[in-house]
Amino acid sequence: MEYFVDALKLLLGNNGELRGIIAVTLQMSFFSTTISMLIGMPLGVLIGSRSFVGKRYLVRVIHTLMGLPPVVAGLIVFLLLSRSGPFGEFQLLFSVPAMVIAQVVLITPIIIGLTASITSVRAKSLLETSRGIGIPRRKEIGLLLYEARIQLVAVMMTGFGRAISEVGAVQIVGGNVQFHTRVMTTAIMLETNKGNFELAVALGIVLLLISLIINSFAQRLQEEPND
Amino acid sequence: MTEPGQNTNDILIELQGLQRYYRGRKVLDIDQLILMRGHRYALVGANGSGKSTLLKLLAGAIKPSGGEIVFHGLDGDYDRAYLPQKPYIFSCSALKNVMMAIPDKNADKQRRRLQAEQAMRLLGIAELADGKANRFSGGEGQRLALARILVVPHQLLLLDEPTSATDIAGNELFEEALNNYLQQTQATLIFATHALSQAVRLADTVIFLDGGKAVEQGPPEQVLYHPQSAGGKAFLRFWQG
Repeated sequence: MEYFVDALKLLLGNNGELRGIIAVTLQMSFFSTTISMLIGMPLGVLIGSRSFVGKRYLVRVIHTLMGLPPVVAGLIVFLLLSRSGPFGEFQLLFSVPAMVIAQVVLITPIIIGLTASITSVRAKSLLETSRGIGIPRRKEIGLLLYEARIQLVAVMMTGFGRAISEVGAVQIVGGNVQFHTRVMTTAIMLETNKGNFELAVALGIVLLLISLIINSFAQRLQEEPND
Repeated sequence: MTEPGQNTNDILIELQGLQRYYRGRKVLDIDQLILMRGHRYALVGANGSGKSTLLKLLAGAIKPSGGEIVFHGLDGDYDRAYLPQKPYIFSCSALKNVMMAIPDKNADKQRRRLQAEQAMRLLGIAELADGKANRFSGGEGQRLALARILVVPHQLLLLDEPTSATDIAGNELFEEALNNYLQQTQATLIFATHALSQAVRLADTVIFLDGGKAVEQGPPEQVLYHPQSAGGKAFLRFWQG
């Protein structure tokens, strides 16, 4: 209880480091989710709605990648971005863009897999109907995304939830550098190890609050068409 | 085979050695079938006889496993329209659903709206225009799907059990609207149905399918009242048309 009261004081006070950590976390989660959605949703629709040779194997690979351990993703991105790696010249390691890249590697398969699963349910009937009434094929992906928009909000939330709560990959490629790449999860780990529970609890509260706000917003979006 | 007195220029579709397999099972096997422009064909047969498969092949929704389908003078997106057995209803208003079926290249929005409203009126669902279409009942949804088909003049209509969910009033409105449409457009109609009385009312030719084969073809009164094939006799023995 004592830690909780101290944490609230910290939250209501004027702690620059705490605000910085929250800002970096939101920035990283926003960009990684947005990029993953932009890549993953069209791919998911294509995989879910089309029949092609090797589809079953591709889906199996995507499902495997959906469970990719964050530290493995972090390690891969670390090796790619390290000074001796193929993208070392960009000097991205231990920066927010590196953390975003690692998270995109983690989240994109989740977005692809869930989107494919959602669209495959309605694709057959929708495509038969839309082609039957002459709607041009170039409009099909947009139409499928529009029709699945309610469920896709949940997909987006899943992606964002993964991004904001992830710790292993961002720790490896971000390095948990103070005032630079420290995010809420890595900060909680560090402060807990240091015995600085007030800041750890404060960050935990913020993490939960953000999750609550985002989920309430998503739930509202999902409920609106049925009220 | 063309029937005596029919001009080969009137041929709309030729099927040659058409086959379709589904999970290793042959579900359609038609040696030869010729469908004439401006005619009205009813596909009749038991469940699994190949009616829906034939319509899907004609619509291009699936590809043949063997053989070929030759269309004469059909190439544009809007030349043929296909109504699947379970049509998808888009999650917008009913009016927008119908407007989506109108090509937007040459018509302004107001004109497309009037066109859609007219089609909905013909099918008795004008008062539902602003309603959320994906909340419609099965029958209302089917009427809406029919309005989407009849809102634009097509050369070929492919309808899979078009009134399976509509009530008697809905059936009457549909048949009246369809008759008017066919008179105005001279379109060819091919529809699958289990309502044999509807086949008698709407079709000039009935094609009886049995085990994926087109075993009988002729006027409704011949095929439905005096079937020649064993399959036709067995299928129609309970019908008191």
